[in-house]
Formats: sequence, structure tokens, C-alpha cells
Amino acid sequence: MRRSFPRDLASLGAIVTYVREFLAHERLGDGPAHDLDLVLEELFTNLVKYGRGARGDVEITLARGADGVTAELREFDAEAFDPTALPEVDVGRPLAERRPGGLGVHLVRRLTKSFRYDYRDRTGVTSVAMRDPR
Amino acid sequence: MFDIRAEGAGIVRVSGRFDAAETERANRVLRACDGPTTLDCSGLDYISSAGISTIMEAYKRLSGAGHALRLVNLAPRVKSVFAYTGLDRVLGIQ
Repeated sequence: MRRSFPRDLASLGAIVTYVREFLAHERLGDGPAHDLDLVLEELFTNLVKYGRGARGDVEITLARGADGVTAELREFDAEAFDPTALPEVDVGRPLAERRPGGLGVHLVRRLTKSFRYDYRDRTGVTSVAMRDPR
Repeated sequence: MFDIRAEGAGIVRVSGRFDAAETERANRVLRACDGPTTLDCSGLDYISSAGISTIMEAYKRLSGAGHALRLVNLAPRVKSVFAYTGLDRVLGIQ
């Protein structure tokens, strides 16, 4: 299932609706909804905040296959921005020593079993395979 | 649907989905808190890193002024997101 969303935080509500439609279509129930919502929000928000030069909507593809539930976010005419290359957050550090940012990608790493980024012909594609819901 | 409101006596009630689109609204309420504050999360269904960062900012500001910020009545799913970030202990989550 594939759908495009304007590159704006106001799209988050529509992405939640899209996730529910996908889960209903695949008869997966609500079990995966929370973690899938969270991963898509974190990845989409990164594209909105850091997508340099990108134009047009962000295309999100959700699928169910041998690897479980997978998601792919595709942006066009974009500068490369590889979220998988961001450093790990040390969650054991005291709050006063923590810098803002990085928590979103940390959550994506926790909730997915694969997290990839590909960039070719000015198209950036972030792909994840979700862990099974807890 | 997200909602956040101060109810007096240092109680702030937050409910619905606290995502990246709601941080400005939450900041307006939390920045008005100037004493010990309890964030009642009993109606909170969902929080992302943007919501957590907003609460972290309020915690740092209040603790810098010598005040506590407590979070109470978190649903297990919401609590697990804080736990993933290592902030469940830091933020005094009950």
C-alpha cells in the first residue's frame, strides 16, 4: 500500500489514519499500530526538519511480507540525509549532560530489526522492517 | 486528539496523542509553570521523541529553579517509550 503526504507536520494525523487502513487491509489488528506510528513519525519528522532541497510530497509504502511489516519513506529531488549514520544516543548519561536530538532515531533503532538508507538520482529512501509487537 | 491544560495546584493534565505537531501548544502550557508541577498522563495514549523532548525541556527549566516535575499515571505503552530513552528514572515517573 502506497500513499503520498505533504512534507509538513500537519500530515502526521493522516499518516496515523493510513497506518490503520493498512493494518485493517492486512487483517493485522491494532497490535503493530503503536510502534509503527512511532517509527513513521520519527522518520517523517526527520525528513520535514532536515530534508534539504527536497521538493514535493513524501511517499510512504507499507507492506507485509516474509520479513514482517515493512515501511519505506521516499523523498524526491533531495539532498542526501542518512539517518542511519547518526550517532547512537547514550541513554545512560545524566540529563544535564544530554544534548537535544537523536532520541527519534534511537527509538527507530529500538523498534526495528533493519534500518537502511539508500540514495540514488537525488531520491532518498529510508527502509525499515518492524520488530514483532511486544 | 491532543489536549494539555493546567488545572491549578501545580497539576497539568495531558491527554491524547503527543506528537511533533503538538509541541508548540504543550510548550505554551509548560512554560507557564513556575513551581512544583505534576503532569497527570492518565489520558495520554501516545508520545513520540518530540513530546519527550518537550517534557525534558520543562524538567530542566523547573529543576534549575529548584522545582520538581513529576509524571504520574502513565499507560504501559507510554511508559515504555520513556524507558527506551532511559528517562523513566530521571523524570520521576511513577
